[in-house]
Amino acid sequence: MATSTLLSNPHVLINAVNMSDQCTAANFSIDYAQLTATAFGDVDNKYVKGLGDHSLTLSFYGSFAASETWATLNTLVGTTTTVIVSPEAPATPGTYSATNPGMTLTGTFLASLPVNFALGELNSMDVVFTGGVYSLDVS
Amino acid sequence: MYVILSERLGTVGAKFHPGDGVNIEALLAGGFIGVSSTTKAAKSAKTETDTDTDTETKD
Repeated sequence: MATSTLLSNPHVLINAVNMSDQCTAANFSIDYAQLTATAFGDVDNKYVKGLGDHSLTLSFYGSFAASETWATLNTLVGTTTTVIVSPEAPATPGTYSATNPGMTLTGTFLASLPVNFALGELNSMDVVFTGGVYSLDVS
Repeated sequence: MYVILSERLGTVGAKFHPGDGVNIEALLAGGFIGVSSTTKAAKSAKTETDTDTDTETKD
């Protein structure tokens, strides 16, 4: 039984820039390669952890104003940066906790910046940061 | 030394200390931070002024 119900209101830092007020969805995926370690004599498959291959998918409203979505993401295409997502905004910037961990990808790569325009809708930008070193900031 | 130019990074005008992996070039290009001037104002040249009050007189 659920012991708490939280309105999803995560905090998103892209290259140290707070983009929470333009972000509408975040999917932080922590993945590791699954290496077979099964040997003769085993009667069940065994696996060990291989290389990490993490990703963060984000959806933003596509604001082209100064210091907004386009200005933040456009200069990151084809480069690496650091992204942090936490369940809610930390009380003190940069200070996370066990109950509000900062899920971090350091050195993650942004390959492309698709911009979506549709009649009668706010334009949006959906990006995927891939790779990088995953860490969980609870300090 | 970098200075914050956008509220999205923190207090405007405060010094910006980039964390691990932060792309400084992208922040500069996007106008989020700027490079604070580290050049000090040149000191004025020292000039010697003659404070000798003695006056030479010829007889």
